[in-house]
Amino acid sequence: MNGCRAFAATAAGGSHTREGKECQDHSRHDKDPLYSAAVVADGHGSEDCFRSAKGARFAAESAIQVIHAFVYSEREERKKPSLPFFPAQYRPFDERDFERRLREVVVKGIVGSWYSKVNADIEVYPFTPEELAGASEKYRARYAKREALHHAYGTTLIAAAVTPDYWFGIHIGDGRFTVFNRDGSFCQPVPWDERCFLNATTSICDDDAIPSARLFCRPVTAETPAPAAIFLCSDGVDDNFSVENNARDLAQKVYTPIVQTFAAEGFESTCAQIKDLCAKFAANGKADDTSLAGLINMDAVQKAVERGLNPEG
Amino acid sequence: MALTDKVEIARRSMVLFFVIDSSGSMDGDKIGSVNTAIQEVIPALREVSDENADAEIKVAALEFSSGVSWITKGGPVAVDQFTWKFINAGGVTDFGAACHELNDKLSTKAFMQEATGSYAPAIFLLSDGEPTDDWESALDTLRENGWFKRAVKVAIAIGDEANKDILAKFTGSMEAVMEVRNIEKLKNMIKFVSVRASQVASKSSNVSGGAQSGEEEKQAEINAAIQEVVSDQEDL
Repeated sequence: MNGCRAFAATAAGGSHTREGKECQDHSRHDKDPLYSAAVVADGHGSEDCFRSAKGARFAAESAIQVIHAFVYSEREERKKPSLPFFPAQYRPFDERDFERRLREVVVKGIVGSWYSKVNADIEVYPFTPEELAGASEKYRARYAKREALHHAYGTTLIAAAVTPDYWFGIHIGDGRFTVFNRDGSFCQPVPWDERCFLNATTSICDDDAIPSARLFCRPVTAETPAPAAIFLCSDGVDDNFSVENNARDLAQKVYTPIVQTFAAEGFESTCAQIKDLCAKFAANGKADDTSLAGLINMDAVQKAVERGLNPEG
Repeated sequence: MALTDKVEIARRSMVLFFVIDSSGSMDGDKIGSVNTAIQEVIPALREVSDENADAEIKVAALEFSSGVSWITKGGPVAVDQFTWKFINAGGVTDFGAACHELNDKLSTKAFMQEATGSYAPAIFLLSDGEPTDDWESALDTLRENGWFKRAVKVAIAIGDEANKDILAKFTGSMEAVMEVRNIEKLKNMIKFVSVRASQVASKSSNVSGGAQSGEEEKQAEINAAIQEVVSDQEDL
């Protein structure tokens, strides 16, 4: 058991519902005896990306499936001896090697699975004249030549998983990956992609999605336990806060009250309130589709809150 | 207290930049009209800000002549706190210095600290002449600034001496450059552009990845509005 509980919540943005658009965010979580995982995907929602609601769902589903397979295959791998009398499970955790496998197995697997789901969907549901009518001339022409069809499904993706042996994060595009450490501080350990600026974001449909996915991984040991909590949000949350102090504002103004509520009111009640909070973000401020997902070690959160938080940290 | 009550969502802001040529050739009626038009448009901008639940309008104003000077020295000012101090005209036209200064301040380390996710600024340039300094490299650098690239940009060419080609290079196209030759029209256009650019730039746009970004769509919208006004004026 990894001691983590998972949650995910999504609310349709007011600016979208006013225009009759469906929610293009998707979030989900998975709890398994071996791991906990959470995923947020934010479909691009432009007129050219008219299937991005499906694209976001496909990305989230793919991430959950691939992470599951990866965690189980890693467990088998670690049982095998790498050298005679030296089982792999006793080898020190090699972050560079693990990150390489994350990219080659997990990211590549998610992107590949996403493409398969997109291709299957197009096969069954070809683009309709109504969908194409709203697209730009450039993309109508490309879609007519059956080029870049997956662009219509474009989405971002943030995923996190915690196992008893390691934890990791994967990030393509915007949104934020925030960690609540056991010492009460917050950080955003996954590197930012400077190409994500204002409305522009990188995407799972980009040609360089696999090499440019941002990754972070750490071993879980008695000395270096997994974080108390990991939070994933779509830009419906973080875009409501200043650019310069975004990480600090998110920590102080969003995640501090959330962890305090987890500590004071328990898991179920706080998850229900996070749904309401997503609805509040989706109705006010940027009024974008909004998703918030996370992995919570309730015991560690409780202890960290009791010791005192350090949202500036 | 419920979590929804503990988390406050700040209202986002959109900064309207006035970049005003206050060189000697602007002396007299021209600078007088600029002063009165900006002073008179403040209540309308406050209305735009009040009526927009998504964003409040902030104003930053830079004048350039022999050197540059921020009229809003401490950075962008919320439009309900903003008062206009009349500026005087004199000196040469250091347009390059203005570009350089604008580039410095269009940064999250400077005037864009409070900016949030999807509101690029609106930048409104007023000029009546030819730059007298080395403007080309400064404008080239400014054009690479991420905030500037995504800003809604409009310029007014005041009178026959204004170099419209340079203004078009600043805005990105001739469609975003308005030509005015009389003082009444100048005042009207300053008011129109200030309000319209603020309305367009502070509008939520939640698209990405398309052929046109949200900012490009906004620039196209303001260009179309300008062309409509220009054509109405010609009809009159």
